[in-house]
Amino acid sequence: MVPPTAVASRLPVAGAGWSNHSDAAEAGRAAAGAAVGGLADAPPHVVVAFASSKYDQTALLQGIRSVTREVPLIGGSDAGEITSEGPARRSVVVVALHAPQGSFGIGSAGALDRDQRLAGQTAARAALLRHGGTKRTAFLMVSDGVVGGGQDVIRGAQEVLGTSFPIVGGSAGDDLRFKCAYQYCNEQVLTRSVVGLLIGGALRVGIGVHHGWLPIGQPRTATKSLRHTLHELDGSPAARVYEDYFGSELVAATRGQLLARMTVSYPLGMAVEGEEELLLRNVLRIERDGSLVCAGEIPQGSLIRLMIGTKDSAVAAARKAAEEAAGALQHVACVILFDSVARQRLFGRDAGEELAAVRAVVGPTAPVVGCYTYGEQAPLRSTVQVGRTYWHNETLVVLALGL
Amino acid sequence: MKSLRPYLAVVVILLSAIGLIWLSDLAGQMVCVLALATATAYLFLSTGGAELDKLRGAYQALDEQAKLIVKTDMELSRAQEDLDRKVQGLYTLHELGHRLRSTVSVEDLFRKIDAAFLDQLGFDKGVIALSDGARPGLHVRAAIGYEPEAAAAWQERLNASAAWQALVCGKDILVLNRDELGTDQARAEFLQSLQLNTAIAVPLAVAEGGRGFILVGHEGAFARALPNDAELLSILANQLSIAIENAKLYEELWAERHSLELKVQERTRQLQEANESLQRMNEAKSDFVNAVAHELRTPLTSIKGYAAILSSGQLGPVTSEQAERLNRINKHTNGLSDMVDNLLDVARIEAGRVIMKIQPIAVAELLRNLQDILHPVLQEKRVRLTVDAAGVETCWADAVQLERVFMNLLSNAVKYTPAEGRITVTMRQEPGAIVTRVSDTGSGIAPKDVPRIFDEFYRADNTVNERLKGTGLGLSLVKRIIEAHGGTIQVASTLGQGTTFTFTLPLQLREQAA
Repeated sequence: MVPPTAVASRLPVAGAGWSNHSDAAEAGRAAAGAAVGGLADAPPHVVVAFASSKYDQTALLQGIRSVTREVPLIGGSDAGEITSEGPARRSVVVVALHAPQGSFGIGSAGALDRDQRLAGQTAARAALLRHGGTKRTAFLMVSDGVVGGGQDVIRGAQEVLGTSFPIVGGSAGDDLRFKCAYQYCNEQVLTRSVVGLLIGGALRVGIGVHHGWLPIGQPRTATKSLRHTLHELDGSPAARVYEDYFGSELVAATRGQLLARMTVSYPLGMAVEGEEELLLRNVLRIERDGSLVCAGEIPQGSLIRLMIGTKDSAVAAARKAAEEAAGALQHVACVILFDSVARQRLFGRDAGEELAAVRAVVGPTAPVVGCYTYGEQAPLRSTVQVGRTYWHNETLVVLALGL
Repeated sequence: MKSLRPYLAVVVILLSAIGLIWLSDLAGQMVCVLALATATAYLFLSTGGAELDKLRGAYQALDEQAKLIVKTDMELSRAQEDLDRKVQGLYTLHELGHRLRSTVSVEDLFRKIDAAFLDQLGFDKGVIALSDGARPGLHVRAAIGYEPEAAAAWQERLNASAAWQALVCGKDILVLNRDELGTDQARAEFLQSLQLNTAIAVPLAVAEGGRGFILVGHEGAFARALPNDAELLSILANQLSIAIENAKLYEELWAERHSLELKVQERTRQLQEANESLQRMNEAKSDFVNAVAHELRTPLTSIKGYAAILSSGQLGPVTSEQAERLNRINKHTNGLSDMVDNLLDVARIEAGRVIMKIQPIAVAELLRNLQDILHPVLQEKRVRLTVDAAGVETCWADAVQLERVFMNLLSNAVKYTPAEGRITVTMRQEPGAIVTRVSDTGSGIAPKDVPRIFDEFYRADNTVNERLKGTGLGLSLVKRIIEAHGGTIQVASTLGQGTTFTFTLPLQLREQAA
């Protein structure tokens, strides 16, 4: 229920809905119906949707659009949904935002597998054109997580929007099948694409991004690395960093496994100039030659550390991120979370804990929705970085929308 | 040796400095400068190097400690995770156990293992298949996470592949992880067919000759099937097997009960039909009897009339021989006429065409009349009749019909009671009715005849009946009259000792009295 005063004073409000109905169209309709219903009689201005890739995506989107009609829509398939009540799977979550003071522009670009940078540019430019000349606040972006190259997509978008323009979001997933992820742009279901929503006008955003991991052991230098593949650290095969700490047997046993447990609990940390917190990099695969395929690029020459964390420190980080995001606003209409699928895996059945921490900060009124992603994007805050957006792994990105 | 080096360096520095001062040629000075620089550098480096060594050592030690911390941390979190998984699994199984115990149908049983349950156990998809006696092959009874068509298609593939059946129904628990399969194409294909990355299958221990399995798995690329999961699934398989057996037994029991009920219903229906047809036949018989009796009555009346005219001598003198024959005609036509009357009455009472005219009857007078009527025949047979109606002054009934009842019962008693025998009539008022008993010390009725003596035309097979003719309608008429009054009649008899007829006349009849 929306307090009548909120509508009367034209504060932005949001409604959220969730469904795990087995029929895609029905699930979409139910979730969108609940989301729009949560706005009382206020009309939605923008809709964000995340859903399992198990659904017939076209039918799902038709179901949602049968309720939300022509309202701009952005979103994508994921590896798990986040609702105000906690984590969910094989379902759909929809948030509808009523923000008369906001302005929105949606853009998309395909052929992500051919040129990520170009796709980033194209999507940002299209959104910019649609958004028009009013004040711009942030760019909410969802790219295909199966294709990858997230950092390059960010670069492309930055070339259009400006290096320090905040870009938030994550990559679309497919329930960890790594076959095909989908992106939603209004009534279109896209794949190998990037979609973006330029947010502006008087609507404000608050962004928090933290992971909660700390470096341990000696620093090493990435002496040979190309995009996502870290070949050598201090002149030795990169897998040595894991062999040194966990023994070569365990590393040999994990070889070939995707996102092995060991590399989820102990990701790599990459130092970024001016930042206290290291950027995390998940190792997707340990190759036979000892190189590490990561879920984000590692520039050659980067200082690399092994990272250690606990569920408690991860929950504390989630709380901190929520505080930073919500703290930046006077009034929070809704919160959208882009949470790493690696964190979902790490928390296992306790995945609700970090979401409860976020919920405790945000309070009971504003909906908290989101998705589990294959990689997150959010700006860094240090003076050196001046709000420049980076590609993250195993990190929670909290985006608060409001005034 | 190492500890002397700094002193040597100092000596070299001193000598070089002296040499630099004292030597004047450039070459000598150059050598001295070189020696001085080398020794100084060495001295500086050797003293500073020790600190660096110390630092490096501490750094190495810290890294070793880090390794220890990381390893401990990993072991701890692994143990914690195992424990969490086990606790959650056992909790879920416990919950399911509760649900299964309250389930009595096999179909319901499979419905209880749903997506939410699998999710709680930490799996994405699942299949339960069983063989059944009626159809060949394995049948998918529950497919969680699959469309029905996909499940049906997979069932076909499973039944076509002996290798797959051996995988899932073998003695061993099957634990498959896609990334551990290597070049095992068959297993990879099996996983692919289920769209799973991991699979655990445990055979179900079902009744003799049957087989089945429960299979669960993960879709996600980084999920792993662990021995712990297999353990958990075995427990589930056990629970499920027992529940299936129980439910089957219950279903069988229920089916048997149901078929019994159906049989009873069928029999009841048959009986009803038979009863109805009997009733129809009875009605037809009554109609027939009625028609025949009417047809007989008219000629009988004529015969009697003509015989009376002949006897009266109006048509000429009657010889004694003729008179005797005419008497016989008269006697036999009277008998026939009685029989026709009785037949007609039985038919009429049965059809409800006779209305009982209920009126108060003075009991003493009724009994006296009966005694008077029967007196000659009693005397002739030397049978004593005693009546006792102590406390009963009036009873309510149709006077004509009641007299008929008494006459029939008493003439029967006289007929079957040998000389010097005794007949007793007692009337008593009992709660709700006046009960009359007519007892004799006669030959009695054979037990086999007792149930049928009230049937029309039934005559017990005995010596008296062989000698004395009767219609077999008397008792039938008595019963119908009593029942038309709302009373009942019963008989008790011991062969060779006598018979007692007991009939009741409800006191309620008083209210119907005109």
